[in-house]
Amino acid sequence: MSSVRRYSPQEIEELVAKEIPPTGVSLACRSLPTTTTWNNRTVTVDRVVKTSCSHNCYDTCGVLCYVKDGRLLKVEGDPDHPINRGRMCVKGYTYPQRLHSPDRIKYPLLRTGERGEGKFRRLSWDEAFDWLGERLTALRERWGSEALAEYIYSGNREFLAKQISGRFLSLFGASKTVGSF
Amino acid sequence: MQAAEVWSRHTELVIMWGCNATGAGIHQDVCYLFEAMERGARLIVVDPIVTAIASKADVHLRPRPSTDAALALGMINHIVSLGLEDRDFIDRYTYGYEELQAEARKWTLERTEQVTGVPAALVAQVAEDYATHRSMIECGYGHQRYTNGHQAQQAIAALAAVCGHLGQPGAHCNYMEVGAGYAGLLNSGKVQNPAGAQIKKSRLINISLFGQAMREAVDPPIKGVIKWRGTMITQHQDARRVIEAVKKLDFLVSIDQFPYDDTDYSDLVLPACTMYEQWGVHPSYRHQYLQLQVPVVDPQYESMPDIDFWAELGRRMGYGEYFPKDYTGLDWLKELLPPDFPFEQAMHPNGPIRLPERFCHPIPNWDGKYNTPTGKIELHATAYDERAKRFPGEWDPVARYVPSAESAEGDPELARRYPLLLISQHPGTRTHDQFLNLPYIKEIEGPPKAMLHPDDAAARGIQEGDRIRIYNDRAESFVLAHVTRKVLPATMELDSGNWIREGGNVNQLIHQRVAGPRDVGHGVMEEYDFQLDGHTTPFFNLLVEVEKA
Ligand code: SF4
Repeated sequence: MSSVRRYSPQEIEELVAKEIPPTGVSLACRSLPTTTTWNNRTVTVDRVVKTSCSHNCYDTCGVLCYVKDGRLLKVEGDPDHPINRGRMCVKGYTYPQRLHSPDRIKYPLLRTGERGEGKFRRLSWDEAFDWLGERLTALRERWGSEALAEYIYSGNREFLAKQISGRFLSLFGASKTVGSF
Repeated sequence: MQAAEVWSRHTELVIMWGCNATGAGIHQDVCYLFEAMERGARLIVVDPIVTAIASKADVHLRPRPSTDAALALGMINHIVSLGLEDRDFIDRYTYGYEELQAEARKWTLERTEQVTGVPAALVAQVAEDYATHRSMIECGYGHQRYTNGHQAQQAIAALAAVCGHLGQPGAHCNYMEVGAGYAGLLNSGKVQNPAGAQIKKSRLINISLFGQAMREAVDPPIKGVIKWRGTMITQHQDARRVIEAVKKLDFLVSIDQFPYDDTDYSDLVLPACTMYEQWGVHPSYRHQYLQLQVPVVDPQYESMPDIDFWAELGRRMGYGEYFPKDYTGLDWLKELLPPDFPFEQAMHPNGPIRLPERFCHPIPNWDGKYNTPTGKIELHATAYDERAKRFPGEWDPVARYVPSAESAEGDPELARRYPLLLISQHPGTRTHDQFLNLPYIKEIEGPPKAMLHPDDAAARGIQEGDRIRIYNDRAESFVLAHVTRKVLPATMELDSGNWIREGGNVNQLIHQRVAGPRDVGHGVMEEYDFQLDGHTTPFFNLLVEVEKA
């Protein structure tokens, strides 16, 4: 026999109403800051933007992004977010370094060396779209549309753009990648 | 998923099962957990490795990798043998209890110890404590990363059901439910298949077998791949054979932020935006709050928001009417989210909001309702019986222990040549292979290391800091040795996500298999059920040998 008392449905409803915030309304209580400390200095920023982190991490932290001169100066956990309560993790805190990294892929690149060599030349976006468009058309003619497949996972686990790619791939008739790791 | 804010306030005992909380999800499974412990809740950790969270546990059970189902069945049997099960709950809410009991009865404490390596007295103590307290189980993916992972998860859930620890504040079994994103919050079908368009059903490719599908699909073969928001080469099992397959494609396009293994093998590389340079929505798969993502700064360099890329490609391929040129991310979001979604409340400068309870109740199953064919907790999964009629696989409807594919028990012959079972952790400094290249992270992590038990190290003349070669028939990987009792004898640990071009990649050593009940052949399917067919990959299920390099 179990020795643990069970809550009745009514008690559970009361508990949720008492302990959990209401649905559908903003839980922000503080107004967004205009200054922050940065390398031991107080800095006035151009704006603070509230957003969230979608790094395939179920915390999905609320984030305050401090922006100055068009750059992401600093990130901080949203203190009003009930899960991360003002904190982030080390990955989240690296974002100013990541976003502005000089090592980023900066423009479209077309392979010039062997596969695996990592040799490329720069293209404009226009040229890149032309290149891809030609290949997609040729692929569909030669093999049929299902010879195209998308490989996507949770590198950025955000859902919106996946639906837009899904729309394109449905219209094109590509194979559909499903499942999960 | 029972909300952390609820269980942490009400539970008396938490079992973290296969969950390296200090590596992922720290705010719920560390911060809220510690608040529960400060209130007096006990912590039990089930993990073969001494993770940081395990070092905080009152009791740490260290089963041999992939024997979790045996451990859970042994606990069930002990609980029932003492009459500590919740009969009333079992009668009212479960289906198939007798069959479960017949399976569990085989798991005496002695046999449980023999298979799992966990001392019988500890199994008994934890089982009794679990049954007699208001208890939570927080499941990670650890025990699911084997070919028998679905059976392990089924056995753990059965343990909770037998004790009635479900649907009560502070008593539930949380696992990786996919969350509100799949529960109807997002109208994906409408966006992906726009009204009025001619869309024919196309074949499905199982992502766990993407490498194999690239090699073996016919009519047509896979000839072009557009790869984005995911890593194919670094992160796929049997990475070398993925590279072979990639070389045979007509084209591989990568949309990425940094150059690495995948871009090296790509024909066209396009600069991707980060999450702070574009619109987005990410409902968590473990909590109930939502903050919409708005662009924070302009796209850096020539990077392009993902939405803009796909919409422009669509227009260029002749689908202009489905990709209006003036559509912003917000316009697309309005198509994706329900018509009554409170945008203003959930979006900068406001937010987050708690999502409506119809998408994610903070105490799921509180009303005793279960979304199964029988309306009960199916200790005998009737949906598996139906699936078994249509698809090959191991559709055993009742939890049981089957030795995993590549383990000493599952493949003794291979284990004679490769006696060490290699498992991986996700370090808290990375999302798989991401972040590894950043100076901050490099400084924290240092060069890649693999953990090895002192006995195994001594037998091979390996010392702390030695350069070692880890190998099997598939590949080899070179790293530094970390000799430590944090791993069990006959096991090793090497973090996932190390880039092949930088060395220390574990995925090259892993076989190309799927976990889960359904046998999906070479990965090309006509039909697939995300929940029933299984959707993990046995990333920890591999045998290796190691030597000084
Ligand atoms: S900041 Fe870290 S803990 Fe928070 S959601 Fe992002 S990855 Fe997860």
